[in-house]
Parts: sequence; structure tokens; C-alpha cells
Amino acid sequence: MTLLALESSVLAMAGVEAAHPIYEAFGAQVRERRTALRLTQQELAGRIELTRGSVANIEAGRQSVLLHQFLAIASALQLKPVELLPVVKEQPTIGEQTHMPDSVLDAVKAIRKSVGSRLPSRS
Amino acid sequence: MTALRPRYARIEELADNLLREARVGNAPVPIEEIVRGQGIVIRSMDLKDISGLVVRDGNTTVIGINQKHPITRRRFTLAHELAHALLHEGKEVRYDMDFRVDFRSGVSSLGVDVEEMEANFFAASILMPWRFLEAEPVVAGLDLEDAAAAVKILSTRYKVSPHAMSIRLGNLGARASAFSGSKRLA
Repeated sequence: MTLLALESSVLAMAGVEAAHPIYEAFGAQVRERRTALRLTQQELAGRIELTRGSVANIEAGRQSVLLHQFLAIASALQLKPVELLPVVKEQPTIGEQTHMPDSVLDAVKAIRKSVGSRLPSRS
Repeated sequence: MTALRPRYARIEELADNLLREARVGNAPVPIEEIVRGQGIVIRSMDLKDISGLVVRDGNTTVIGINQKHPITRRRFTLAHELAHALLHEGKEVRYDMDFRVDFRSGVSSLGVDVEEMEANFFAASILMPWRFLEAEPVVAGLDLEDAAAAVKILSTRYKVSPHAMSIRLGNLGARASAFSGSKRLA
């Protein structure tokens, strides 16, 4: 087998390693909705043809989710897929920003100090 | 000026040029050396909820990296910030918060910043260059059962997270299919 199969094989290895933080957020959302609907993990698992263990792993963010599973979960939880979709928060560009978080201001100050900046620090 | 869509070809070329200039021929890529080679100062520091930032101060460019993050993450952040420093000029301070997700129901909020996509693609390109990966026996002879093992071996060798490596290898698979023009395996 060659590289051609690699893409799908990489997808198939879902859950092998500690997942991306997005899965934790997704999992928490699934759990919240499931408990709100008073479903057990077993019951949800039955509706989406996964094992209870997989549902537990998904909720804990330990398992990546394939697209068809994502759609099945949304449907089982009576949500539109988009309502279950984790969204990456857009960061406004600096030019548009009226204000930077304190952690950024502190870091900028520390950096300017460490490189011996002669420019006045801006507030 | 912000590009409308990620300039993938240009970014890969830039990463490749930097590797050749620094005479890097194998993994792990010495990303700190490459960054310093560009005259950029690196500061490892307590950044709280920021993973990295670029500060331009007169003629000096400094990249700050969150020292609390694991080495694989710090390397990726450093490469990511290098992309901002080289490709996205003009901003005096540019920072990247820790990955954040939230759940909203509006499709309009789905956009991901083009510059972020470019910076991530650059980081992957320079830390996991195609020509290095294509020469890996474990990649050339890969089969389905071995994918997880290959990701593990390669992520260790390239000093990147398994997550980053699996995405890169997935793209390599897609690229190989596109180049060969053969039918994709189901």
C-alpha cells in the first residue's frame, strides 16, 4: 500500500493520541446536550452505532470524530450540525483592536525591556 | 496587505529556501537556529494565556514563546510566529492566544483568519518538509495498520506533536494522489 492510502489511514487512526483541544470543547458540548436530553452514554451510543466506550472517549475529548460520526451525533442530539460545530474565535487584527489583553501588554513590556529598547513604551 | 486566500505555494517555497540557506538536510529541523539566522531575537517567557507573539521594535524583531508549553508546541509556535514576522509585515505587535473554541450557531463566525492559516502551513512546511518526509522509508512503505506507528516514530524524529504530524501526513497523501492522478482508495 502506498501514500494514496495514507490520508484515509491517518483519519482512521482517530483517537490514537491525546486529541487536539478542540475535541475537548466538542466533547463537553456533547455531554452537556446529552445529559440535558436525559440520555445515557449507552443510549446515545446506540443511536449513532458506536460503543459506549467511544461515546465516553468523545465526551472526554480523547477521541477524534469523523465527519459522518459528527453528523450522526448532531442528529441524535437533535441539533443542527452547525449548532454543534466548534468555532475558532477570530482574533481581531491589531489595527482594529482597541485594547490588548493584559498578558500581551505585560509580555510586550518585558520584551522591550529585555532587548534594551530605547523607544518609549506605549500604553 | 492581507491575502484573500492562503498563498500555499509561495509559503512552501519560502520554507524550503530557509532550510536550504541554513543547510538543513534532515530532521529535526533546528528552528531556533533558522529564526536567529533571520536576525530575530527569541525570548522564552511566562506568557500566561498567549502561546507566542512577535514584537517589532525599531530594527529589532523579537519572538516571545510561552515557556510553559511542551517543546513540540514551542517549536510549532516559534515557526508559526516566524511566518508572521516574515510574511505579515506592518504590525508592531502580533500575538496568538492559546487555542480557543466556542460554540455559536452562526455560520458567519466560521471564518478562520487567512494569516493564521498561512502561519500554520508555514510552520508545518518548515518543520516537516515534504522532501524529508517523502524520503522516509516508513512513509514510502506505509500501510494502513502502520499509520499510527509511523506517526509516532516521525513525530518523535521531527520533534512535532503527533497531531501536527498526522495532519501533515494526511496532506502528503492528498498531494500524492493529486500528483499521480490515480484513483483515490476508498
